[in-house]
Amino acid sequence: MTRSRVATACAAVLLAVQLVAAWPALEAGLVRARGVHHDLEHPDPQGLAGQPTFAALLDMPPLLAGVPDDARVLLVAGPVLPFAWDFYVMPRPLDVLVSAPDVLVARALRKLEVPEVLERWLAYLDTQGLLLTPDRLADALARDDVLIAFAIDADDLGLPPGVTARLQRVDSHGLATLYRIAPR
Amino acid sequence: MSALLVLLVHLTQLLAGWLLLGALAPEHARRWTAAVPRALLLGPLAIALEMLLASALHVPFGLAVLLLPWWLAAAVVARRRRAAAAMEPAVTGREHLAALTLVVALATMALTSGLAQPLVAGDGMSNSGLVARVYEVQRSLDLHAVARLRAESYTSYPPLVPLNEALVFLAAGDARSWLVKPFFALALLALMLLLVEACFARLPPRRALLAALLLLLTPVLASGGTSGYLDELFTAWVLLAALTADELRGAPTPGRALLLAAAGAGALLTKPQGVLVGLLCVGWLVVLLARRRLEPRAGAPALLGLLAIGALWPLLVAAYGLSAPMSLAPELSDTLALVGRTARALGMALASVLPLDTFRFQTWGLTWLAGLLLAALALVRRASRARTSAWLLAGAVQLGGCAFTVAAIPVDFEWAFQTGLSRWMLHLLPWLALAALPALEERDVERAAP
Repeated sequence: MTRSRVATACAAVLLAVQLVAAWPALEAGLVRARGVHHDLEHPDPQGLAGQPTFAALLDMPPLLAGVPDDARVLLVAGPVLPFAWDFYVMPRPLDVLVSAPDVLVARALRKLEVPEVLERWLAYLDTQGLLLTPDRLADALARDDVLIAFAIDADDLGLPPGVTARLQRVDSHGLATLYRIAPR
Repeated sequence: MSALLVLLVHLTQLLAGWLLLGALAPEHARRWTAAVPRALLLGPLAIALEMLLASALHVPFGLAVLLLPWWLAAAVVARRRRAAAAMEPAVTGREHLAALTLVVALATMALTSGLAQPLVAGDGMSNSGLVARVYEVQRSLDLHAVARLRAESYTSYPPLVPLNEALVFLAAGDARSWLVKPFFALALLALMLLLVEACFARLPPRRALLAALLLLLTPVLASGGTSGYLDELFTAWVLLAALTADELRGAPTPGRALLLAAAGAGALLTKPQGVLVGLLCVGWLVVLLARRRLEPRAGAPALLGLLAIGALWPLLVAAYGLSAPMSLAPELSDTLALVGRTARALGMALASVLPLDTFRFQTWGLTWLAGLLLAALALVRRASRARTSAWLLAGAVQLGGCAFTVAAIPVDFEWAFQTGLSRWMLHLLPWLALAALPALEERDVERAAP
């Protein structure tokens, strides 16, 4: 009988400690269940607001709602973490260029614990033709119908002279701005 | 409307799984506690195979064409099956009811919190959502279009989840990022129901309740199903494979052999790590065939089916030039360094599950510590030594594979351990649980060794 009581007490203590360990996870789940704050200005409990992946979900679909399915889209992304570009633009044909300013890259390489990851990522972007350069931008602007500037100002795109006049700003939403590219 | 269509998709998955289960192992279809988790796993497998077949036949993906056949089949089968199979009591007592109540509560929380948080990153997006969107838009398994994706994605990732996500996307429309989340909560529900079943099928009720509560309250599990990772689904496949392998040892029937093959195929088609689970299933079938515990006529179809499904996706990957992200490119040139990193990875993996600091305590609680102690106790007992050794060996194979994979990707070595380890160690939870449970059996319980 005593042995049984000791076993029961041990089991109760074991479960209590396990519940203490699980409590933060359970509490986080309950907080999430109350809803995500769709506010990009202020951090939310889930840590999603302000993240490019979440901003893309919120900002791209409203902008693309009026863009025909056969329009060619050029997405120029600022120096932010990559997200699933195609996911939001499909079924439209997509060109992507990613901005990686030298100053920011140099600073990041100094700060990162594993700088090789960034170096390999930039090399990958370059070999795939995804790294933003004036030539690539000019080529893409010549063949695409609309431009989405994501987390990047028009001034930072490095547009060649004369091209700026061909861009007609249509709308903006959060981090994304939509331009129509006028034909030459 | 979208939500109703998504509900219909999940009901059809459940129905497809129930039909498949009824064909393979009708004894499990008689109790809902056994039928629901198996149907929740077999359903997505059946749907994925159906979509692969539709694509091979050039039939465009559509809700009607993919869902209707299952309801028609159910209409034909249901009447016959109702007459043949009387339902058996599913809940065996108050302790069992308590464990199931906790399962339902945790799954409900995962469902509601998952619905509030859209899918934007993680496995569910990077490794499957992006590809699923291609399948949705192209209405077929268009691997050429997958290979042309601009975003860097894991295009060689196995297709079970992408295909099922594509079906949900077809139903969800613009709400796809939110309405795909119940898929992950349902996977968590399947895993938790199987864990409860594993405990209550092996232990007296009070001990089973203790073991089940310990497992269900594992923090990494209690918070799962919301983030959109595939690890809960994969772990459920591992557990189903283990439970079915155990059943097959006791009662080797052709249906159970096929169910084991289906579990191995499900793991193979869910995550790349599933290759090891598939190999373990093949190995077990070969052992049973070699020992003549399984008739060749019963085991051969399962073995060949599993090998065929296992070979299908790698062949498609090679044919279409699909690949993993460049950050996962393996570095195999320096063998000595690789061996050293693998050993370090093994040590870090085992250290990561013990409650040595707050982070590890809030990830695993006491689950691994208690599990390893109980497994050691089970190894000491003669009655359970062989069984526990077998489960630990299977877990060691999977752990070794995981450590080697991590070691082969040197650039992301630290990252992998910081972010991926808790999810990878979750895959081993079924082996740990099955190795530990015999220590809680009554002393007079004697079971045949495997």
